[in-house]
Amino acid sequence: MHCLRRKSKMDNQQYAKEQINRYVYQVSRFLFGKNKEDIEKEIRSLIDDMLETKCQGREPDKADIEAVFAELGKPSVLAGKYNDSKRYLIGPDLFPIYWSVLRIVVLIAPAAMLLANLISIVTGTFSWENLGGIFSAAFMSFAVVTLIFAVVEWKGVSVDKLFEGKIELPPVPEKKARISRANPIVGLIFLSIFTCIFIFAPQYIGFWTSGHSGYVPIFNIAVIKSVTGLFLICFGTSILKEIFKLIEGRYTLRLMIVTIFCNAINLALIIYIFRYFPIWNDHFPGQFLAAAQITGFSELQDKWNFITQNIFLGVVAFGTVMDTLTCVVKTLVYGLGRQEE
Amino acid sequence: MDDNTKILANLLPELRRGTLVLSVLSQLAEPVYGYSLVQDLSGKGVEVEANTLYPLLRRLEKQGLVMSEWETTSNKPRKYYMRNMKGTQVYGELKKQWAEMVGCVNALLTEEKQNG
Repeated sequence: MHCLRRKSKMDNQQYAKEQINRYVYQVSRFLFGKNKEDIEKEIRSLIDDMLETKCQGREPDKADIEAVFAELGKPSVLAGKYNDSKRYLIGPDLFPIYWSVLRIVVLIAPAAMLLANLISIVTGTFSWENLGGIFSAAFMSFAVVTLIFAVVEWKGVSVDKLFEGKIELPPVPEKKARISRANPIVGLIFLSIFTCIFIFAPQYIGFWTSGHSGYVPIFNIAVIKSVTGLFLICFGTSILKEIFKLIEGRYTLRLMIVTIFCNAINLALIIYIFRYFPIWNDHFPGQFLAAAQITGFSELQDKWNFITQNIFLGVVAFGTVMDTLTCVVKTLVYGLGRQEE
Repeated sequence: MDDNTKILANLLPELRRGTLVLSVLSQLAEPVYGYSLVQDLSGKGVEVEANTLYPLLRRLEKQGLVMSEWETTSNKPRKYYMRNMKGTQVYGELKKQWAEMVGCVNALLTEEKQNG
């Protein structure tokens, strides 16, 4: 009898030890930082104290242990109380803007792909392989937008303080200094459509006849596929610029810096891509003339070469410089002076 | 009535939370370990749960207001906390602020009583 009681006491001790180990292990899974082990040790000692007070000298049984754990709460919640600094991928300040951008981009991108696929059904060039692009487009837009916001959050960009380090709220901007929400939103929509079609369905950008020749693509599809990563960077920097417009809602020094930075990267990448990769379909003029059944327009090849090699980059460079200049001028005229009032 | 009880149940912890640091600092003139502090405070009518107090002690230590040391000579290792100089200064300031606040709030409440 005496022996049995001793065995039961041993069992209880073993049981309690095992349960405490399990609880502390669960807490430790959610603890971070250099004090992790110290906190574990302290929780263990706390549980011992709580059980001792509860049991007043007798061995703790299952109900006692359960009561103590209930008092301490869920391991993840307890650990959360120790990890005092709030850590966010995207914090509550940025979240509303993130949410509105995400909704636009993640809806528009697959919608554009869906439309491209519908058109391909009409033109008889549909292939099941391209259907996957709808999901890829949604996923890619989600990933790019989330990544950008995570970086903005990580860099600690404040949403309602100005870059210049002033704590005071900026005066209500006069009308010309404001950037209406529609501006970046329309920008985001077009960016998403354009990028998705370009990355996932470049074969649909081209000339189509109902005759037997079918599509004549403007671009060299294989080359476009090989520089997807570079296009994604362009997409990312362009989106970053639009996001900043949404965050600022007015012309500011910070927006100007971001615009110059993004436009410079974009322009450099586009020049690099279009200069060093045979991205245009060199045979387009011949294929086009054949498909359209036009004869005797041999100078088209020369014009095509001129347009793709000179005009195109010229237009892109002009557009980018104009966009940058507009932003710089508007910042200097409306953005800076008015803030100092 | 039931609704009132629910609202009160939410408001009271909020009211207590603000006074917790002051209450805890007041008890740390001598070294104490976490669970004895829980019991001491509870005995004096200040209910605080261990899962709130322990992380709070860590936070106070991180802010440089208290120091801590493991007591390992007994068979139960325990971590003891104590106010340091900075903690004592901050505690003194908090105490002053508290006295002022109590005065002001009490004045509001008596004023309300007279009017009502």
